Amino acid sequence: MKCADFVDRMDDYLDLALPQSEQQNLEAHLAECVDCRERVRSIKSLLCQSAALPKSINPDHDLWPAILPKIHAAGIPQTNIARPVRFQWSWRLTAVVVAGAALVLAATLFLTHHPESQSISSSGSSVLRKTGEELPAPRGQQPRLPAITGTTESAKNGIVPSEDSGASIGRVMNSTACQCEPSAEILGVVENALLVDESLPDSRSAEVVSDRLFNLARENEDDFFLLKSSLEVLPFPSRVPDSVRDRYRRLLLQHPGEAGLTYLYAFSLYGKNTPEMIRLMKQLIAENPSFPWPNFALAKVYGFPNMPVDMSRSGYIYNDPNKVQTYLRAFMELCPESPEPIRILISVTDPLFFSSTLSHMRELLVTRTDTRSLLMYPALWSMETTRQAGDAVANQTWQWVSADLKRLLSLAGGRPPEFLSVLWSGYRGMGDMETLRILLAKDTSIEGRSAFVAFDTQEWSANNPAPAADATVQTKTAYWEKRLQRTDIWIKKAPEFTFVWMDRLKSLSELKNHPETEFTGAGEKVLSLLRGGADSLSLDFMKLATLYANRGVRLDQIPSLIREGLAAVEKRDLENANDLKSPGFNTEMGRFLPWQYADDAWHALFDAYLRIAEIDRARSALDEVEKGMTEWRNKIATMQANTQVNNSYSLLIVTDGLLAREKWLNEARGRLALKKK
Amino acid sequence: MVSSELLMEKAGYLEKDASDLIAEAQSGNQAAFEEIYRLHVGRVYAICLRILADRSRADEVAQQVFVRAWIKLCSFRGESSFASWLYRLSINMILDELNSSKRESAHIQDSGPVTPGSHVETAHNLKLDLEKAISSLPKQARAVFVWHDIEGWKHEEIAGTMGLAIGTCKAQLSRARRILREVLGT
Repeated sequence: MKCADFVDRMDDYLDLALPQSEQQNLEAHLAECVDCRERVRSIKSLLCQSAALPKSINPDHDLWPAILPKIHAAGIPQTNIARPVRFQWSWRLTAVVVAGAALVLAATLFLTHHPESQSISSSGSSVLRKTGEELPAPRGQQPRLPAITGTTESAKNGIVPSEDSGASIGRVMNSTACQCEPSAEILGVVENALLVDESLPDSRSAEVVSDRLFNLARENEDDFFLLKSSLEVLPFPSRVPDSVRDRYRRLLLQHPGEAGLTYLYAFSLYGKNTPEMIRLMKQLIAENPSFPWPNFALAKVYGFPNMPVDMSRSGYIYNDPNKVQTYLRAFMELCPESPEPIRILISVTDPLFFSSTLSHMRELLVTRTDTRSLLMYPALWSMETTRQAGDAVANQTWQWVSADLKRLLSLAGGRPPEFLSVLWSGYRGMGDMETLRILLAKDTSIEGRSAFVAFDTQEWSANNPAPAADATVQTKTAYWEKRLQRTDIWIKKAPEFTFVWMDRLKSLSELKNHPETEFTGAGEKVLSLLRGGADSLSLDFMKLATLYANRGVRLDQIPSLIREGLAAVEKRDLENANDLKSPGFNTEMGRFLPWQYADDAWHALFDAYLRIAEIDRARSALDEVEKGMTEWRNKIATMQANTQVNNSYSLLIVTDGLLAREKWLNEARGRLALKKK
Repeated sequence: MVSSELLMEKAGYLEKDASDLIAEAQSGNQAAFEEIYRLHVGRVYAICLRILADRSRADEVAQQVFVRAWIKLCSFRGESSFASWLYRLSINMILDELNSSKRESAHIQDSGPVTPGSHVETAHNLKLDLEKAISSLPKQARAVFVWHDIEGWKHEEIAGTMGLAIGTCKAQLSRARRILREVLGT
């Protein structure tokens, strides 16, 4: 290929408007031609700058004084008497917004069903017509669904009905599966189904909601989006019960080849049998090119672990930014009005595609009022504020966030509790701590209470700096007493969180004037939470052991606590296992932290026994430290064998840690020998 | 559920809900319409200024857009985004202005690019320079560039809106990008 040929097609190449074979030809030319590479670089730079230009520019002077007399002369807006009274009333009622969920849902349903409103539609800003102000019909308008009757007793109880309960499964593909988004009715059903009993542990609530959505789907002629939501609320790609996969497998067996069910079954394999999932999704795309969701699922798989583009992707078997873009583009071609791409946009590496998709997502979200879409705002803000370069862009972005928040507040009435997290995450980003505190204090969800404690802890610690190591005993005691008092507030707010009790325990461990029973009581609470398994960190077993040892209590329990902690780490790894990661990659046991905490606990135990002259037990603790050292050496050897991380900062840190421990071990042996004498 | 009291706590500085404003403006409330103007003028003015490349014409067309929006306000019925509706109205007014060849010839010569501006040092200056360079583009190339590379339209949409062949549209985009690279020296 000659440069002139390349230049002719360069714009199409950059806009990805060429057939794949031609795109490859141009890439081949680019690989060997410095001049054309420079041309492409230059245009890409221009496009980046253009995409970053502000979408809003204020005029040099206020135009309103010139507009006012003209609209005054024009009189009141035309045809404002054309609408039926009932429509006007309902529409205004909706606009008042601060209403309960039932009212909002009722208004939504009314608008959707109203004959006049059905003729009104939006297709976004990009489809224009020269004449008239009416917009064309919407893409993918959905067929009407029968009235939603709400949850039945069986659904409320989370009982899964028999799969062959008679609903027409063929409807899955024939009606909604080809569409991009659920109807307003189905969205309303999903929103109601997301309201869970807050007393349920986090891990269980997902399953309850999933069952509830599955039952609702069966009641609503196997609505594809309800079935899909039933899967999506589960913690994919790991910790999904086999019974869920089996549920979709059985449905598919009853209706072999049905595309919607094939998709759902394939998705259920995400993380468990990903190769089979990929095979099925690709087959679906080949056989049903207009079915959008397999493209989205594949973009998700190839984007796993869906983290910022500058982070390492080694160890994740399927991670491939090019494929993410390919499938995401395909999805967006089929569903240009769907905001779903926000969920995986963070995996997109191409800056042009990223920025154009991001601004498209903003345009879409600002027109949405459904909770599902509004919950996507934090992801949008996060990407807008971290991936867009330049101060001017950042300033513009914060202005957008500010405007978004005002709009979201106006839409907050009657939303499920999750909605508050959108608001407070926005105010947190804006640095509006006063509003953040008000919102967090209102949020009774698990996430909200956890964030409140984190926020209050941070603020309290900033106002109450910890005393220096050489501070007087009185200063230290005063600090820990004050902190202990503060933990009352944190525990009251989030009693089921281990970290608030750990904070109390730490304070008590520093306050020897408090009775031992108060200290051990807090320790027992921590232990019961850790053994309950809800939202706990396995490493806390080792931390608890260290605090016990430092205080010199329950010394006989400490070895078993440390071992229980290491076993819990292993169990957690097993629960989180999925086939998207290389075996052993990115597991807790594969890291050093568990061994470091275990070592710390053994050190503390050694010191405790030495203090009370229990020489044999102190030596046993040292033996355990030596065993741990062997683990450290083995891990370092593994790291060194991996050329990708050799000489890395983490390797240096770990090696340094090992040397420090060897030094400690020698000193400890010396102290032990001295004590024996 | 999020309580209404929570909303009221922040109500002191909250602007009125946009749909409520539109409803009020539709019933003839000019103050409500002024609020709508203040919310949207930046977006409307940006597209006017970039396509028309002339501040006084952009001022004039932006004013016309809002007057037209006032008159046609009741044809907006709330299911689409008001911003989209207003944006499309703006495009129609801009196209009318562009097609007004008599006035056009007095303002814009469809000629080659102007010479580059001052030395570019900061990102801010770079953006100012880019804006300046865009404004120096020939009329058609400028419109295609703004719609394609800044506003994110597809060639088919631009061609349909401007009444051009898709090939012409692509050629104009290519021309615009080439001129801008030359002008900016990137």
